[in-house]
Amino acid sequence: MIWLRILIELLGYLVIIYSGLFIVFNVCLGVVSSKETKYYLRKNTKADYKLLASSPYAPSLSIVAPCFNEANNIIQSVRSLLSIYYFNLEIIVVNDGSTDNSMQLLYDAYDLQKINHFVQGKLNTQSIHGIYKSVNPAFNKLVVVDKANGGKADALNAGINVSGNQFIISIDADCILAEDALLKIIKPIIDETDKTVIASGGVVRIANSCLVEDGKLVKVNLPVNLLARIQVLEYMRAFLVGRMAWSRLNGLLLISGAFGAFNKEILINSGGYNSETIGEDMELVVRMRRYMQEKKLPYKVTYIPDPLCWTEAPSTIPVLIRQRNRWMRGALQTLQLHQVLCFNRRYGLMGLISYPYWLFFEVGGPIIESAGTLVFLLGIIFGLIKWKMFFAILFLLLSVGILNSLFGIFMEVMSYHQYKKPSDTLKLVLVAFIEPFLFHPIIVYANICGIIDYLRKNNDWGVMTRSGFKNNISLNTPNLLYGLEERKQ
Amino acid sequence: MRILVAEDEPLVLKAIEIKLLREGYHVTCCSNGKDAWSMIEEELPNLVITDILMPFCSGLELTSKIKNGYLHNTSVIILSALTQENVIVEAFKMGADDFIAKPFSFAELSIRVDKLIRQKKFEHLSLAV
Amino acid sequence: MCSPKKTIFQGLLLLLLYVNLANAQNKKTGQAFQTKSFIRHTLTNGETFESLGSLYRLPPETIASFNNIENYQGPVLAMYLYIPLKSSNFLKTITAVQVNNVVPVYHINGQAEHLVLLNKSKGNSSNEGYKWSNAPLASKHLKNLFVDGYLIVAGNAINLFKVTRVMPVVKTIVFKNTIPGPIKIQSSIATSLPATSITPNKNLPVDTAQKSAAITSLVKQQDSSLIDTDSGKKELVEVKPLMPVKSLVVGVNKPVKHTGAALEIFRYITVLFVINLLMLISIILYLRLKKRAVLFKQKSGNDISEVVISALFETNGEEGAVLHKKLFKKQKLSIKTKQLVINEVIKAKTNFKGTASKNLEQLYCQLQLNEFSLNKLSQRSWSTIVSGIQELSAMQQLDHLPSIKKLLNHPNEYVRIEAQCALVQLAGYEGLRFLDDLKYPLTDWHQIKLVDQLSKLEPVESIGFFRWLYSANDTIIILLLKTIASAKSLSMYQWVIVLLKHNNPAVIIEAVKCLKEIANSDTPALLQQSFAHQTKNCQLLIIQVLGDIGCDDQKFFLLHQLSNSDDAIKLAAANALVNCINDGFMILQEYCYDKGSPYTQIISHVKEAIHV
Repeated sequence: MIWLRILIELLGYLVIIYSGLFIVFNVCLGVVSSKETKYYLRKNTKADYKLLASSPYAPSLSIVAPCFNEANNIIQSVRSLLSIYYFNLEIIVVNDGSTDNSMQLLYDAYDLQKINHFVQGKLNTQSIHGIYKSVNPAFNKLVVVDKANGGKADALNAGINVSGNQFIISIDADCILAEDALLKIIKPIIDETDKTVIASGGVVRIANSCLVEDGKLVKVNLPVNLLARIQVLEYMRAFLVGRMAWSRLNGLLLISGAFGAFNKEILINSGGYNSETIGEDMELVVRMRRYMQEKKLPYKVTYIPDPLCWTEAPSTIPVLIRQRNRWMRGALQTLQLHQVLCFNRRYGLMGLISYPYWLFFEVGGPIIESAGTLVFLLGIIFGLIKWKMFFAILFLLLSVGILNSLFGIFMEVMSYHQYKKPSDTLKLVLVAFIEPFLFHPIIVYANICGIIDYLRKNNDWGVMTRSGFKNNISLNTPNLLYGLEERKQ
Repeated sequence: MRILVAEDEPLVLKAIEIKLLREGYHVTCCSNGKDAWSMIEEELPNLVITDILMPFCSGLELTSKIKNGYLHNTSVIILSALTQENVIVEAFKMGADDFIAKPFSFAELSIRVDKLIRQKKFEHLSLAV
Repeated sequence: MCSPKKTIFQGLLLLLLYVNLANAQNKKTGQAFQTKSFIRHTLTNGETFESLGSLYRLPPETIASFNNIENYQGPVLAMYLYIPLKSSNFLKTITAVQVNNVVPVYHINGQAEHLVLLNKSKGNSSNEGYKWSNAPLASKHLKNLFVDGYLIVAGNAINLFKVTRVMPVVKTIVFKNTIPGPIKIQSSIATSLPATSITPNKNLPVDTAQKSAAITSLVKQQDSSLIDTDSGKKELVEVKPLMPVKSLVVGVNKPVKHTGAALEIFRYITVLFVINLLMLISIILYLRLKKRAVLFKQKSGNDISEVVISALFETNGEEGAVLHKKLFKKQKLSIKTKQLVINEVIKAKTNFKGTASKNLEQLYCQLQLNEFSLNKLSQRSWSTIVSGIQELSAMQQLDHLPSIKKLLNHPNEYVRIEAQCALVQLAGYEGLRFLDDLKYPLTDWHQIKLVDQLSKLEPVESIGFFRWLYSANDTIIILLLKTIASAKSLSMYQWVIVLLKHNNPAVIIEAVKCLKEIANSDTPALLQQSFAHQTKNCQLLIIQVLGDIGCDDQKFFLLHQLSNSDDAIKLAAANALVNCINDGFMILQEYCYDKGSPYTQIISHVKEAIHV
């Protein structure tokens, strides 16, 4: 009984401290991101991006689009990529050993022909069966790589090996890009003089219910599906508030795999994508940053808030849970692989703020929340809950969450305002109020499953992965409890 | 003489339309590459004036579609703000008959259109002979 | 929006409102709690709720529940317990009957206890060091000494107090009280204190001793049975000023003041709620504004584009002016309309030249939009200045060049960049003179913009390009090289070749690219010479360039490079061989014959390129 009481007390404080920190962080991020967005908008609304499309002095780009069993939409996606005009561009579609007829479809649709291409790149990949180019001069920018299956990271590496240009744009084959996406993502890279921009990331938007014609987004609609609609809000918060601020602080650890530009030279020097990892996009950015930090080179990871890349979000709960489970495992793996960063002054802001933030809020968040729920349930069973306190904390957390969401909507309305109908915005506000009850528990559940899966798999791997980091995570709460117990005695 | 103009900037499209109508041509307008293609197939114009940067399908792609298909007799003028050497070379590689750089003057446009149309007429005549 | 969702939304809003109200109510209950009085009891070994209950004449469960403890059986695990003062154990006044087992409870309105340094001189040596004290107690605070009431304790337990009183400075009884109207005994204390009782005690520091003496004597007056004056161990009834309940209290057996903490949190919630509401309101307001702007644009957009198009085809300016006045009935245009017209005119201007373009400039001046744009230059916001510069330069307003020149040294980076671009756009190559004073590196974006603008102009070499080719600012050199390459200024050749020895690899790469454009028959040999000292990227570039401009002389050099350790250079050399040398492919095939990987792949790659 006394232990449970202590547990509840302790959790009460943990929750208060945690949410206090969370609020402080969020307010800071909000302020920074609103300033940065305003600055970005002022700077770039009048920029003539078309100049970049044809200038021979603009950096050369290679779009690398890995695809695996995407027969349904591969033709449309490649069509969308081909309609992009950029002078110094090659579009590399990597067929990662699809078991369906994707390759055949591509072959037929774009008059492909096998060519003898000498692959110069040095990154290790699965064997490449063949490289194809189109006979039609209109598609002369298209290169299709057919290779043995090896996962997304492996496919990206193969694409990088084939690429002969300065920058790699990695995109998901199921994404829909805006026509000026390349111009906008490349501009921050050439806007910098004293620092090397190692990577530039873009916003990912949700394309559910939007009208798409021939691989081009024609009309933006708010998703009809509630789950997708909630994710619209979630993405707004994450991209417009969170990442914008992190980019200002130059502390961005994740550039979404769906759409990002990378400096090829540094990408290759830091070892390319790691095909062993689940979240290869985050792992790559962290590794590139580490590389630059260790070489003591000035660098920057930029990010632009323009809505450029649209993708289908999961619209059923099982798919969503699987997605989030994977994300969580990816994040954990990256954090573990680079645990040396944690509170390491040598890595500057990345080690002191970005990494701990990920650890405590992205990974620690679900743990604290679920632990809280568990103890709360126990408390109910044993009748130990102080309801006044409980409701106070509950409402505090709720209103912080809602505030966060509203701020995301506010930023969206102020900046790009994709959902033109006023009723759509109000619907989003409504979603902000129901999200904590309907959606959030699912996410926490998925994240916890991810953590459990990860730890379990880790144990299977044995001695190699035993590390301080794991202890940090799994024993977080018990450690503190133990400390308290000692003090009591 | 039927002319199809594909241009995504409404103001420019409107202006070209007025100009060509005044010259006495029959003009069709469209604002993106996809519509342009379906209209070309429908109306079989003698001349197509197209921009490069357009939604759905770039002007270069449209040109290559026209020149590599059964409509290869249709003349194509590319009208674009992309005036770098490499773009112009690419445009002619795709089979464009002429290239007008933006900013352009109406006088230039009407002379070039006139010349191409005459040329086509002459080719037809010589073929007939 | 369908109605059920609306209801849910309203419901949620109401809920938030309720939280707010609940918060307000909670404040009241919180105050009610604070008026409850209690004393703090320091636990000693073996004490149980039972014993405490009998000591303080309270049921044990009352004490337990007051301390938020459910279980009042068994040992008590705590340092302190709070003993509520109820009518059964606390009296405001006493009667003679009760006098044997009461303890007076005092309250001092004054400073909190703190450490004081005692001087040697003041007393004997045993009194040195730091001691606890309520410092300026002496006369002033005695006036604030209150007897609040009397704690009734069980008669047989009265000795317990003596035991706890042995330690002189340990807080034994703390009384917290906000009950109005404590009994003031200001002057009466002073007068009633017997002179003897104020003498310093051996074991206590001077002022503490005085204080304790004062209190002791007071107690003695009230209830002599409490004090054992003969033993020399003076009792100290520690009296503390009232402190508001503020912090969250950690611990198990202390009363956790949830209501206090909850109150705090509710306060935060209220703040958050207000912010939420403000956010919501601003979203709605902003939506309205945006909608209005869109409507306005739709409404006037057609008129404006009509005017602009008619202006394009005008032959006579006079006639046009009448037309404009007709279309914009108002003499003065609103700022919004002006901006819309400017945007439209500039859009048209970027697409047309010749008469049409002149007409647009005329329209711009007729509507006095140039004044509007000029006015922007003197604004404070940098983005406004930037758009002003952009408008003036797009409309070729040469007259306003001086006011743009003034902005070349503006503190804001973007204003400077825009002014520089405008200068080049308006004054052509002459405008490049700003490079003389440039202190910052040029970004690639800026360079692309400038080169694009310059490429549309005829190069003027009289201004002395070459002096910038030796600038300390490498980005200026790179810009110049790009300009030379795009203008193909052959006359600059001699200056460019010197740059092949520059120490910044980026400059060398740009110089090689530039040389490709302005090459003459000597260039390949020159590049070949400098090859060995370059970085890998530059070497690759040189070989590629040689492929374009080379001749038979490069044959052996390229063949030699085929054995370079870097595959990329091998491939480039093979390509270059095929491109620039007669029978290059034959030679390549001969060289690569029987060499295995990667030469077989290179051969097939190059072969493919020839076929395509």
